[in-house]
Amino acid sequence: MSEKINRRGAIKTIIGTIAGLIVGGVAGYYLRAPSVERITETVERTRTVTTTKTVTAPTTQVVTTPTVVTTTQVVTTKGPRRIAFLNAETDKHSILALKRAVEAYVSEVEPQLSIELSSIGWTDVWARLTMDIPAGRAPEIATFPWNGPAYTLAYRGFMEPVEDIIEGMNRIYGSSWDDWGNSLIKLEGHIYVVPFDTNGRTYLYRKDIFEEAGVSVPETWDELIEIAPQLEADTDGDGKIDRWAFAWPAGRTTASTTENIICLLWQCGSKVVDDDLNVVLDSPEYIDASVQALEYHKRLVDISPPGMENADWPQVITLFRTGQVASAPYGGGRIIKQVWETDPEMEKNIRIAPRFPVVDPKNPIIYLPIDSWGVLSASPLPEDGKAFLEWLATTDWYITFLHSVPVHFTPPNRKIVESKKFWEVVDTDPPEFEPLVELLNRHRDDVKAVLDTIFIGRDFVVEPGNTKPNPFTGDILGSLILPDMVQNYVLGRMSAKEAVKNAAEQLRKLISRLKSS
Amino acid sequence: MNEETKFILTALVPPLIFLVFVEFVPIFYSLFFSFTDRVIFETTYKFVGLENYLRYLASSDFINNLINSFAYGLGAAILQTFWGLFLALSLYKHQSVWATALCVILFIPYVIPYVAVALLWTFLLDQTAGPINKWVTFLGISDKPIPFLSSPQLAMPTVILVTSWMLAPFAMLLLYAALRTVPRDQLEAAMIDGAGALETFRHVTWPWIARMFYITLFLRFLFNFGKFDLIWLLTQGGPLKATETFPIRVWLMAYSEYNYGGASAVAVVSLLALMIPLALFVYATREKE
Repeated sequence: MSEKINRRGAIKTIIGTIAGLIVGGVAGYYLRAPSVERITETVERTRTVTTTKTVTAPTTQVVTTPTVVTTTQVVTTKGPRRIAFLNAETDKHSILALKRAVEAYVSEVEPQLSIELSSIGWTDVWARLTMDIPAGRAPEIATFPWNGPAYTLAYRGFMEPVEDIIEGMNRIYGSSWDDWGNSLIKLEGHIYVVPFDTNGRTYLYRKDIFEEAGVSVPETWDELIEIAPQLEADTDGDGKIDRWAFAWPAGRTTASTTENIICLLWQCGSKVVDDDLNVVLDSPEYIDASVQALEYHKRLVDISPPGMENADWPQVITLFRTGQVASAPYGGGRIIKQVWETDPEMEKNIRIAPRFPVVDPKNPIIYLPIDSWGVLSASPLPEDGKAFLEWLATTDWYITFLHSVPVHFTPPNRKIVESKKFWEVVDTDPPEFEPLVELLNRHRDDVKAVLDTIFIGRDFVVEPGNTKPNPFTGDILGSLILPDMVQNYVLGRMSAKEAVKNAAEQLRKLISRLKSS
Repeated sequence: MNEETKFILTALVPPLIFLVFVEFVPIFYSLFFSFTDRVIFETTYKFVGLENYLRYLASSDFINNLINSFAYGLGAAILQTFWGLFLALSLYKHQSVWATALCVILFIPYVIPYVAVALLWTFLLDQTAGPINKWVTFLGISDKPIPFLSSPQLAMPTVILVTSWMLAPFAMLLLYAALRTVPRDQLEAAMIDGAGALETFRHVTWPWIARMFYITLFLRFLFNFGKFDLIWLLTQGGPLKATETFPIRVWLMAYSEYNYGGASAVAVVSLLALMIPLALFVYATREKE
C-alpha cells in the first residue's frame, strides 16, 4: 500500500463528501419517488363514495359520514392489462392451486388480463407492502397473514372494501361468520378481507405419548403443568430428559410470543388497549391480571425444552415433528400435513385437542387471527384485482385452495365447512389433491376442533370488551414491545410488574406518536 | 480541452454520477426524512425538527445500540482479522498444492449464503438437538446445555463467533496476499542469522504486512458495524436486546413500528457514530511528516 493517507487527504475527502451530499440532495429532491397521488398522467377518475361509518363487532354505534375518495390510476393501453397477486401461502400445493386458478381465470374469463402471481414468506409481506405502497406499485391482491395489517392499511385508505365478495360467498354457502367472536370486523361500515382460514390457538398432542403416560388431554394450563413430569422422558437412556411436555416459545418475535402472551392476557382477564386506544395493560383494573399472564407464560416456558427464549413457530414445529415434545401450541392445523409428508406413521398419532387450554374454564377465550386476501386500492388496477378475487372466492377454486393444506385451511364460516364440497374432491382439484382430501377426511375431528376456535376466539383488532377496531393493531403487534415484556420477565431482568409497566409505557409512547402522525 | 481533462471527464464522471445516485441520494433521503414524522407507507409528512433525534438519544435504546454496535463491530473485526492472519500464516508456511486446496476449503464459509449459515449454526447450537451441546454435556464441560443464543450474556459473543467463522476467510485472503510480498531473501537472511519464528515474524514479516493488517481490521469493522442479516437471522436482536445493533433498530423502527422518520434518525446517528473511528483511523494512518 503506497497510497498516502494524510490530513490534507482527509480534509479533501470530507469536503468531497459534503459536496457530494449537496449534489445528491439536490438530485434526490428532484428525483424523489412520486407519491401515490402524483401519478395522474393517464387516466384520472374521481369516485364519490358515501359510506355509513358503522363501528361494529358487536354493533354499538352508527355514524354516517360522506367521504369523497379520489383515486388516480395509470392504465396501460397497449397489450393485456396486468395485475399482481402477492401470495404468502407458500405450501407447494397452495401455490399450485393459485397458479391453476390464475391460468383458468385468464383463459376462461378475462383473456385481456395477465396476473402475476408471486409468492413470498408471510413474514415478508408487510415489509414488501410498506415499500410498494408509497412507491405506487402495490399489488392488486395480497395475502394478509392476519387481519391487523389489512385494517391498518384500510384505516389509511389503501384498501378496497370487499363486502360484495363476502355476500357472493354467502349466496353459495350461507353465512355463519357471526359464529366467530369478532365476526367480520367492519371499519367504517366496510369489510376489507376475504378469509380463507382460521388461525385460532390449537393444542396439538401426541396421542400415543399421552396414552402411554396415562394422562388425559389438559383443559387448563394448571393441569398441563401438573402432568408435565409424566410426559417428560429420557428416550435414549442416557440419564437426561430428552422429551418434554410442551413447547411454549418466548423468542423476540412478532409471531408466536406476541400472539401467545395476548392469549394469556385475555385468559387472565387483561387486555392491551381500550376502545379509546388508552393503554390499560398496567391500569389498576388490569395490572394483576397482566402480571398473572406473565407468570403463566414463564411457567409454561419452564416445562418446555431449554432454548425457548430464542424460539418461534419454526422451532416449535421442529420440536413437535421430531418427537422432542409431547404437545405444542399452534395456530390452526398445518403441522398435520407437514408430518404426513415426512412421517406418515407419526401423523396417525397426532391430534388436535377439542379446546385450547385456558387459565380459567369460566373464561374460555383464545387468540384467533384469520388469514385472508384483500384488494389494495393503492394499486394500479384495483377493480380488476377485485373482479379476480370475487371469482376466486365464489367458484370451486376457493375449495381447491382450501384443500391444498387440509385441516389448516378451515375458514371461519361454519357453513363452508359443512358444505359437501369442502369434504369432496371438486372438479377444479388437480389429481395430486386426492390424497389431501383423504387426509382431510381422516382428521374430521381435528377440523371440528379448528372450526370450534371461532366460538371462543378473537382477533387482536377488537380486544375483549372493546367494540371498535383498533387501527394500530399492526403497529402494536409489530413493535416487539410485547415479546420484550415477556423476555424481561422470563429472563429475569425485571419483576412481572415492572415488565408490564415498562411495556405499557412504551405502548403509550407508540400510540401517542401514531395518533399524532 | 486537453487530454488530461478528457481523461478525467471520461474516467471520473461516470463513477461520480453512480456515486451520487447510489450513495448520496439515499443518504440525503435518510437525512431529509429524519426531520419528519413520516410513517413508512404514508406519502404525507410534516417536519418535526430534531424531535426524532432527541427522542432516540434520550432513550435507553441509544446507549444499548451504541455499545452493541461497537462490541459487535470491533469484536468480530478483531477475531476475524487475527483468525485470518493465523490461517494466512499457516498457508504461507506450507505452500503446496495441498495448501492451495486447503485455502479453497477454508474459503467456503465466506461463500455460503447468510441464511444457510444462520440455519446451520442455529441447529449446531440448539439446546435440545444441537451437536455442540450434545458434546458439551457428553464431555462434562457443563451438566446442562449452554444457552448460546438464548442467554443475554452469551448471545453477543456467540453471534460474534459465528460472524467471524463466516467472514475470517476474507481477512485470510487479504493477509495471504500481503504475506506473499515479503521478500524471500530477507526471510532467508533472518533464518541464517539464527532468528526464531517469532523474531522473524516480528522483525521481518510484520513490517511488510502491518499496513494491510490494520486496513483489514478497519474494513472488517466497517462491514460489521453495518451488518444486519446474520444478527437478525440468529437472534432478531434479542434476547433482551442483547444483540440489538444500530441496523437492527433501524429495521425495527421502519418495518415493525413503521416509524420511517425515527428509523432515518437512527441511521444518521449510526453514521455519525461511525465517523469517529473513521477519523481516528485516518489520523492514525496518516503519513508521518
